[in-house]
Amino acid sequence: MKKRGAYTKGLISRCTKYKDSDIIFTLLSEEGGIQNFIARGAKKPSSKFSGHIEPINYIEIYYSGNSSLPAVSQVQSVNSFLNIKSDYNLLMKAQYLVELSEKFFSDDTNYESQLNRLIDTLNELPKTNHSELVVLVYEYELLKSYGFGLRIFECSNCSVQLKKTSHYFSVNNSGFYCDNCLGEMKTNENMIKLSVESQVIFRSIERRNYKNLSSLDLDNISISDLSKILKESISNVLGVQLKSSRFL
Amino acid sequence: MTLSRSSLPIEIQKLIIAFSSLPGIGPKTAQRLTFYVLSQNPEETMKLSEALKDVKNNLNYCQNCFFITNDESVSSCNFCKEKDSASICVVENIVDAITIEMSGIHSGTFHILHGSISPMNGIGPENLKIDQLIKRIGSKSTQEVILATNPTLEGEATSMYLSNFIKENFSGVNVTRLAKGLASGTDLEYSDFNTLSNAFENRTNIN
Repeated sequence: MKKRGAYTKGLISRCTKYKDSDIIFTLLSEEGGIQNFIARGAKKPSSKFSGHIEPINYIEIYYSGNSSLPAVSQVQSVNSFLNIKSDYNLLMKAQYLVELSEKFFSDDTNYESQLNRLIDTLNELPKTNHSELVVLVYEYELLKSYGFGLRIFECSNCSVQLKKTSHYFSVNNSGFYCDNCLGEMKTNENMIKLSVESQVIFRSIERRNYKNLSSLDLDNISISDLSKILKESISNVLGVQLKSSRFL
Repeated sequence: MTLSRSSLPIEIQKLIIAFSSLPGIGPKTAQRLTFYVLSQNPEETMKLSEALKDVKNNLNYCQNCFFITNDESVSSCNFCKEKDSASICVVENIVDAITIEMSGIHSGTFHILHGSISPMNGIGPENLKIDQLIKRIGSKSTQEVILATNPTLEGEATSMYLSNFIKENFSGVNVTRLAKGLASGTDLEYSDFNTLSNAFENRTNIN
């Protein structure tokens, strides 16, 4: 691509039609975080931008102007994630991941690593039969990278090492309770009981032992409780419920 | 003393705010329109006011195709009456239906969804006229459903949702999607991978 103006690379999270044929889009960019751009005439069938400016497209752009809404002069798709876009369920998951990243992106300064993690996750999504696990790993890693990691090896109250048995997870406390501490806790606290098998998933993600994850018999382990824990933890951190989470 | 907008009469302020709520109208344009209305003679202004009232009071949505109608009976409208009910063209909004109708390429009926599935905006299938479409397919002798939603991410999501649902529940109904690919007048060198791959997938024989 011929160099002209400023350059950036990123994933489009949202597009809004503006005037007759313009598109204003939000880019999760590797340099500036969340940035808005305008692609003039992008809705016209003959536009050189058409097709490139679409949510969940990884693009590189050249833009001009220092205003709050710079105009795009050139655009090139790096990855359009066609495998995701041709499957309804994967598309819903991808939209959730993008919305989730968008919320966390605004609090970050290391945009590049954040963007790379999202791109890697989107690449991984269509490759597995258990795409819900890919979402789970992303949610877990995201919380951890922002300092909201879960305490999964020891009791979140007395810090004693947890035994290999079922334990209750407290969403408010972001960790498990041992049997001794469980009795002292308030009965109205939001707690979810997790089996040993489900805890193994969390432990494998924490240790980044993804080989172990792929060897688990996931058809017989319910990961819906794990997903619920992470979604509620995210909601506690952000203070809002993500709109796309109900489509998963 | 500087004159601010808040020092204008309340009637003017209200009209500026009302115009500003329209798509593509900013506060400056809204102000210009307001003072234009003010300079018009009362008859012209009343005509505009009546037209606005009539649009809201006299128009309904047809309960069959969800096009706008001024017919008292909303069970079917002039737009869907006396048309080939075996083929239903599903579009996102009224303007899309008008565009296809004006081109004269579709002789069947339409079904207007009034939007598309957009998870990031919290719009799901239950927020669209999808239940009504399903009822329509189930109750009439529908042979083909043409999915003519926009080739955007939201339009594609809506189309995938509908095609999955119809194929699972109405095995005798043929579900088709408008062709995707290169648009007339485009340059191949500027085409994105998505468009090119669609064009290659849907390539046709030249006899």
